[in-house]
Amino acid sequence: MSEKINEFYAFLDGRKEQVLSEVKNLAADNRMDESNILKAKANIYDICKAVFGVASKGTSEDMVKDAFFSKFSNITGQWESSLEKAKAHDDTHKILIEEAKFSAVSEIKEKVEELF
Amino acid sequence: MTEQQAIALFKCLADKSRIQILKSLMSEDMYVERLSERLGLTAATISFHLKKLVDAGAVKSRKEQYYTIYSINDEVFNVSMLDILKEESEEENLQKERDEAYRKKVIDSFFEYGKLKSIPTQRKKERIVLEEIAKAFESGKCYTEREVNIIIADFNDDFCTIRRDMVAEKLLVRDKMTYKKA
Repeated sequence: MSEKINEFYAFLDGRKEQVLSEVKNLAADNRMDESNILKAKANIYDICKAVFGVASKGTSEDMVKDAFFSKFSNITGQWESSLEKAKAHDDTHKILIEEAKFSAVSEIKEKVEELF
Repeated sequence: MTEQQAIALFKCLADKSRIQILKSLMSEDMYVERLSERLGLTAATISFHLKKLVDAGAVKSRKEQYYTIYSINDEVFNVSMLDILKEESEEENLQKERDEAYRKKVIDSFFEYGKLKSIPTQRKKERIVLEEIAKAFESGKCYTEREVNIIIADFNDDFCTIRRDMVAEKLLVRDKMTYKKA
């Protein structure tokens, strides 16, 4: 496994740990709803790792970014439509969950752009 | 405030962010963006909490030009905790309904066309039967023993036992030679 991929996985694991620690802190601060919503963000790093693993298999390192974005956008596309629906129905809970997921997505995209 | 409303309100208030929002609204009415700046939470987070507070009745909203302004619902917060606790619970009403159904069942079993068929052996059932007979007595009126016997005899021939049991159950009060409904 290349150094870049290792670094990317380490980034995902590190961010997941940070978010989970934020989840704990929010719960300890009696902000249970925000804590539960943030759990959705923590899951995204694992999903992303799995998608990246599939995208990078048998793909050269200079093509891995496009392969990953192509696969990842299939998933995030569903989240986008879910967010639009939530906004249309003023479903504030769903909006927060989808926005938490997208904040992880934008961090991940930025890291991928930086590394590959 | 019903018991369910009180539970929803207390659940809603058990959150630090929502308490912070309410504290801010105590100082002045505000819109989402202003609360967001003040509390350092995203506008979406503030909207989420405000919706919960509005649903629980803790906060009211009104439209002012392009903005939705939020304010404390004083009415809810002016209700004292004691008033909430004094509110009859739905569980209590359910219990009353069950008791009433049981009572009706006992009366239907032991009375036939207004006559007491037999005196129940179970004390709980006998109490219900005696309470039903006590309805034939006027409150505050003094009755001689003979008058009491005649009234009870309309229900059952064993007026002596019933009269004594009514006194024992404190449904009738005996004062020398007269009886009064308790």
